[in-house]
Amino acid sequence: MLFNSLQYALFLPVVFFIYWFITSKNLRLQNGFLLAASYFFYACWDWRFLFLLLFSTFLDFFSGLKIGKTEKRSKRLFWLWLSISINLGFLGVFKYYNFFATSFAALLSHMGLAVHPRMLNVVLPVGISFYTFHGLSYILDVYRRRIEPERNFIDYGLFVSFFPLLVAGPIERATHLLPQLKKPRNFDYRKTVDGMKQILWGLFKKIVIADTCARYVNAVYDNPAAMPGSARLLAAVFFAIQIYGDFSGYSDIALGTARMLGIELLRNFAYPYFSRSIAEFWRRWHISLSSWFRDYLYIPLGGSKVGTWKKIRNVFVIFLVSGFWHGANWTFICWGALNALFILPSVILKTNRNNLEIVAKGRSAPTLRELAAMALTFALTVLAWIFFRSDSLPGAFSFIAGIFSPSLFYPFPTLHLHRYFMVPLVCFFLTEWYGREDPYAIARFQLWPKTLRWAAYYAIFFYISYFSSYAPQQFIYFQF
Amino acid sequence: MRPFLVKCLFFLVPVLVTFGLVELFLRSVPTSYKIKDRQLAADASNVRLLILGNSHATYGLNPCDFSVDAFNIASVNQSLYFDKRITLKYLDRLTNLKYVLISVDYHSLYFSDEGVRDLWSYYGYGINYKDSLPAGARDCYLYGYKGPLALEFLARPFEKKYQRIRSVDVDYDLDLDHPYAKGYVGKVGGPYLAKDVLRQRAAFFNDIVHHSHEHDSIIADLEGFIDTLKRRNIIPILITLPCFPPFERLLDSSVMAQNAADIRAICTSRRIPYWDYFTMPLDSDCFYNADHLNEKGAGILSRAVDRRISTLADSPQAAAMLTSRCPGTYWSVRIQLCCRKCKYYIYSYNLWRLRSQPGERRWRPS
Repeated sequence: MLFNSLQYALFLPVVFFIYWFITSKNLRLQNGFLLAASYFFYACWDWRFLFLLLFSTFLDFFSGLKIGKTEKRSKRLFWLWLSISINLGFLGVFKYYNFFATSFAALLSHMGLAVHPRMLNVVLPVGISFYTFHGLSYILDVYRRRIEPERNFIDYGLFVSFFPLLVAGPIERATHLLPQLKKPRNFDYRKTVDGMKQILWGLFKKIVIADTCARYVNAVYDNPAAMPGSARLLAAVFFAIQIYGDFSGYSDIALGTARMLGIELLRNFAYPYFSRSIAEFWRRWHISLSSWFRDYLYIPLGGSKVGTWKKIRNVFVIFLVSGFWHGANWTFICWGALNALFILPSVILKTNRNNLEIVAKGRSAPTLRELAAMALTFALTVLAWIFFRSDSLPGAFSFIAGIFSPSLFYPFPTLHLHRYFMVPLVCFFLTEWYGREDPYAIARFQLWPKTLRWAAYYAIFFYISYFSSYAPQQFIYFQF
Repeated sequence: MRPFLVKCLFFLVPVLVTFGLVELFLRSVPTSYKIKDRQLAADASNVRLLILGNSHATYGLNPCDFSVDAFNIASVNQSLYFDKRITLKYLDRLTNLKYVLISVDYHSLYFSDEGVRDLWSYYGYGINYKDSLPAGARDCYLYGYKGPLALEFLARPFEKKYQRIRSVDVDYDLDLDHPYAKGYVGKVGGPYLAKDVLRQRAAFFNDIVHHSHEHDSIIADLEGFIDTLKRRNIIPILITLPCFPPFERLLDSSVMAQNAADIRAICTSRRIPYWDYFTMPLDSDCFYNADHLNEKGAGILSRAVDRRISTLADSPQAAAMLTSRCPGTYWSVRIQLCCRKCKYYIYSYNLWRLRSQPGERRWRPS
């Protein structure tokens, strides 16, 4: 069940009304109902993988209890590593087995040994990377005594499987979400409307912006050899817009849905393309994953409070792991390495903590220097996204070589690009700029007169209807 | 909670009313499918010749140029799958039907779905392509047509250009002064035969053919269709429509040879005629583009086909066509097949020579 599908448009109101009308008097009933709805939501993809989710949930729940029960370090370590190794084992088998097998076979064939490894012909369980990381964060927090082990399986199950964040995040922390699930929740008009607006904006980003860009991007990437440099450049820029619209749109729908149900999730995006440096970009892009790696990998490795070489090592480790987390392909690893290279100067020069505030805060326009910095950061991210989007490393390099060729100055083919697409695209960037100090771009519409505000909502609604198709497009991050 | 529900209702009522009105409007739009459906239903008992096929037949065969009462039920990108089911839908009402022209072109034996037109066709004829259409789109035209097309339909009443015809696929260069007559509306103008366009069209068809996995099932479906028609004493005639000669050279000759072999096998086993006009000599001003005739070309072709049908009807063996071979057609197919096979073998031999000597590129396939 996709967030941008008709099924979800029916599922959400049903869950909403049962949640607030029937189960609202009893917290346990409310959580139990949400958990059942979440399992139903997950089973809509493939009910067989529900057992995997249940097993992973039960393993972490049980390990958490065992770790909390004993003071003996060796026992605590045993349960911690058991949970981590089984969780990562599942992830490794489903997501990385084929990659390692083919890479190993390729390595051996270079050495003159022909090996034909047996491949796993299994689809990747949707959301496995996300719910595994939920479970890991819980177990690590329990081990570090940041949180008491959860004794209620329904509450813990809901923390792992809450349907808005189950398949593509945000990657929640037990310290943030579990306390919310423990408190009684009452219907809040303001929050509910706010959630609906965020869903509306998320749908606009996904359906109008991302899906339309995707058509052009796919046409170019499917046959790059036939495309001039201008079309490749436009496709590279459009992919940057597509992945932002797609993933931040998904996150907006997830956050809005959770807010309608009285639950606040971690923010995942904070206008990353208005960043003035790559370091700032990574504080604003996929925040929940970046902070996960920071807290559970980067800081345990020493973070930035170590010598220069170790600092460099830590930066590369975190970005390579981040790239590998995205998928079992050398293109993702290269994407991670490229980002590490981009961020390294600021880490060494200790300027990575600059630009903590959003650009041009309190002003309507950026300065020329800020504009140039934003443009340069965007150009670097576009370059890195080429690796992320390409099927193979040679493909990525030839794509880049094609951009920097004389055909860059040829007129680009329109490739069924909607003739009025530039209107919503420009409106999208202007709205994002206008609302950059708020949690989501159209939150600021609240300050407008009611007539104008409603007109804007109707316009967004119109664009979503206009650009929607009866075969909803997958979200990019579902594959991870 | 109450203020929330009231405001939701206030917000949604205008949206729902607008959507409802647009839906009603869309349902009333006379699309090409609906027009053909209505016209054929009204004239079913008189029709003696039914023309099936994709855009080549849609624009290439004018029923008004036939001496027998004909009707063109072909549509853009219409596959043999739909040809069969549309005909079967009307078959009981087509009491005088004698001949069915089944257009079999370069790619006809390689595709069965029509992409987005599956749904448009469903709205017109009620045929659900392999039961694959989503329920929401089947029941809601606005959902099915999607925004851009729905808005285009809404805009058409305000455009003079589309005053007479407001239908799916009436996009450009159609004679809007002559609305559908016996299911036909012709292309005017052309020829648009730029080399790049020819290459693009050829690449489009080659792509369909090379990525198809349906070849055998489509042939089996077609044979079943032919058998059904013959059981009803209707003569099915397979026909291939003309294309611009330089365009033909861009198509895959091995596929053409395979097509010829397939068609020959069908025609000989089912004992039905095959009329191949693929290489019919026509001036370039008879073409609208690489593979479509304009009204002038359609007139010439239609009269040629009509003469052949008249001959067929007048011949003493006409009635026996259902059980006998058509020798002329049979031999013309054999000769053409031989020519194409020779061409294919030469091509394959040269390709083999090229591959066997990688360092020496002596010959380049055109």
